[in-house]
Amino acid sequence: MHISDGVLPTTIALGCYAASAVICTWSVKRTRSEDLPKVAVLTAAFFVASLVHLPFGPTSVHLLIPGLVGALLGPSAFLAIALGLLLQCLLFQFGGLTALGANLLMMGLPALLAGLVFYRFKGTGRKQRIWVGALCGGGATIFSALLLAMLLATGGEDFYGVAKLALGAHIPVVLIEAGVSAMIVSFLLKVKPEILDIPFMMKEKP
Amino acid sequence: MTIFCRFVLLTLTFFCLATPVLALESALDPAARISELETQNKKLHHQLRLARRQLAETRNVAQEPGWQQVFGGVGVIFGLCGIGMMISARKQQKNSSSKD
Repeated sequence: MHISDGVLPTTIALGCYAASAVICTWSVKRTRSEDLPKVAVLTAAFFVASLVHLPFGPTSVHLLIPGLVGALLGPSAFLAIALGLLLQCLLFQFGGLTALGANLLMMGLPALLAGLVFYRFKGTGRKQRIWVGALCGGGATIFSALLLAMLLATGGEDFYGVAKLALGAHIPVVLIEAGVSAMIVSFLLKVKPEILDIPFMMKEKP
Repeated sequence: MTIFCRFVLLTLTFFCLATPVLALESALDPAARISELETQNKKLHHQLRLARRQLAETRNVAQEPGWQQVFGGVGVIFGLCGIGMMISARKQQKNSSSKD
């Protein structure tokens, strides 16, 4: 799920760049220095996850994990995704440099939303946390497919057609993302539960 | 003259007689010629498409990220994280030294 160079009109591409620059600045400001190692690990995971191809029927799909990154990083997720996407774009030729802003919004906004949802609804129970993690993983993928359709609609494509196509193609990804997110959340709850407690709304400073 | 030589000569004669007639026939019938050209065109198109597909495949294989790219990217990420941590550590150090 990437927008290539030259698909979007220039004004939209520039607007997406501006919007993602603003959100990225906010994200950098909200990142606490003690969270930096966690951000780096999840950025690396996000960067490499796109290489994990899972066979599904006649085709193979690859992981996206914006939901998981959002749930684990909260507001810093946008920064992590920005860096990951920039490197994917430069090293793997995913998308293009001119469409990077749009791709960033497409992956970053669902991640932030997933972070907010996870923060709000994670509760305290183990089962609830796992379910909310799965919801974040699947929901973020659906949201980014919708954003993809919306962005392509600005380039003159038919919104419902693209949305149907993108959602249809990503049904297996949504299921796999939900499963992987649930698995990772349950694993983290076992080995390091404090990693799941990220303050989203307030900056907590000692 | 052996039977074989006779046979060859006969065939050659028939061949020489038959070709101009055939050529004349096709020149006389433009529809047949057009359809022949169209089938040829189709064949060529098919081959071109195959060649293009192969080219795209090889290009994909060439663009597939290798281990160098993956480890390079991970290295960049951790390196940037290290720089960020260094900056924050310096800030903290300055703050603590100014307090003292």
